[in-house]
Amino acid sequence: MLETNSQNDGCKNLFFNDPPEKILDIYAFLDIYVTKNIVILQIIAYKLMTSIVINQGFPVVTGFYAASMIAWLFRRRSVQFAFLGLGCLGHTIFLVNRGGLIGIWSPYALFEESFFLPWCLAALALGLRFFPGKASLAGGLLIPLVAFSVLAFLFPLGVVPPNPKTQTFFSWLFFMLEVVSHACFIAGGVLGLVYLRQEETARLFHSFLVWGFIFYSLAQVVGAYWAYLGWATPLHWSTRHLQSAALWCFYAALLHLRYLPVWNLRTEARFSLVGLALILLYAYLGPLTETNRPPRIGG
Amino acid sequence: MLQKIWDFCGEVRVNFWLLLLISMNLGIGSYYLKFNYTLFNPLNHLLVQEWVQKIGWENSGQAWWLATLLLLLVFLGVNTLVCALKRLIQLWPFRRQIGLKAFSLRVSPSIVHLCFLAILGGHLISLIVGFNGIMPAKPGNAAGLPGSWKVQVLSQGCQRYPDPGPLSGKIKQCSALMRFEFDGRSEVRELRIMQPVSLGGKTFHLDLARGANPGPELKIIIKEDPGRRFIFWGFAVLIVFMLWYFPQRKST
Repeated sequence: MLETNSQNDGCKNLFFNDPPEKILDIYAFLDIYVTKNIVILQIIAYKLMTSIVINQGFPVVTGFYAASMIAWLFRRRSVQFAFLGLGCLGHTIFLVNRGGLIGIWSPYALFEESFFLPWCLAALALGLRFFPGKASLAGGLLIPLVAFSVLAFLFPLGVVPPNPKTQTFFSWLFFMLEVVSHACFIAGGVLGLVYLRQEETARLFHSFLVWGFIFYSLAQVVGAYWAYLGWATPLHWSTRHLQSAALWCFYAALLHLRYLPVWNLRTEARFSLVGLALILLYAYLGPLTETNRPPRIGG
Repeated sequence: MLQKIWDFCGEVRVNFWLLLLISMNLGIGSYYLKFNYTLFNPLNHLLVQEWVQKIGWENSGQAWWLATLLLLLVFLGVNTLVCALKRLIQLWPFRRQIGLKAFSLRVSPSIVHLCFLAILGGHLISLIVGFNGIMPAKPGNAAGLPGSWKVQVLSQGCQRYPDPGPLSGKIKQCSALMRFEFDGRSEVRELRIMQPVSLGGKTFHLDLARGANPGPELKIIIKEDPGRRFIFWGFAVLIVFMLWYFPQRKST
């Protein structure tokens, strides 16, 4: 939660511990405290927002996604997209609120992979609804969508406070592009699996891989420039940078597959599954097992 | 014989396996970095040959992946160059026959490959050429640099988030006022985090240092990196041609 100070604690006691019947006139109450100290009210609003939108919001969103997946399993397509749309809308509100969670607008909080990746997958699944003949593929994306939403519960809800190096356009643009590319790679991998199970319409998986590679390359450019401004070098010798380069080389190899004589789309689909495993390993397993985590605000 | 070598170097199959091997090599290397931070972190402040001389040679058991990585990258560079040239030589006679748009679309992959080569070359230059230096940003601190340069810290300070507030006390931005003397000139410039100063081919970056004291400690990273321009320009042109090529690829 928010770092406590004496004002904050006082406010907490007043608002949460006093029985409601003691507050006879809410307007008088507000008037007194607004004029006395507007900061206290801001902190109350912040605490309420944290508990309602952040703590309760994401489980509700995950519930919508799960309901959408169940509707897909029972072949109720209109219900599936209704729940998916609701989930995506709720998720957008959740993310926007998370962006303002620490009292100042922090795009980093908005684009943090654990919560932004499921949103990207939901948006891709929803987007497939509008592609002629591809709506049936959206169902395949619901399984990773629910899985990554559930996985998000393992990550802290709180936000890493901004520091002088993250308060730049390049920082959040990098994170946004990287997560979008991961979502495309995951969608490519999952649709690759669908293709391997004899679903001809899932040939689309290749397009997801190509767009994932373009977004990932863009992320690398932005990231390299950000690293140069902040750390004086476009390539930092760190686990993070090396794993990014490893992933880029893997997908570059995958895109070269089709120029080999032995190539067929099934081989590419199998490789896309390996890529999926690499993303899980580098983007999820690494941060989850990290012991030296930066302190967060908000839980 | 030469023809055979040329053909082998320009094969897509070789390119595919090299990329896959490099990906694996980088993945393995990332875990060596993770568990040997103190061993590999100096690579960020030293030229690679200096690092090998001072640290790497004695710890070759931990650094083998770096040697194989550099070797594979050299092979990839040769392969990429030959691939791109072979394709350009093949397409060039048809440039009038197929029209400018179709021609530019067909040569796009070769240009993307040449840009990749520029990025690789840029990284290689950054690793082995240039100057790396670090100095504490304490007022009055001065240092001489190669080429009769002199830099001096005049003042420094940090701005914090206001109190009360959720971020109260956390650092918002830091700055350092510096005097630079070089080529008979003297300039006073302000450095801020993420806002480096570029002068006479050198760049000066302000950064937070991990110090023993509880308060913020600042350091100045001095860098002369002739490779960075190749990296950024290579990346920028690569992206433009990728965006031009991939959406239209089916039509070709």
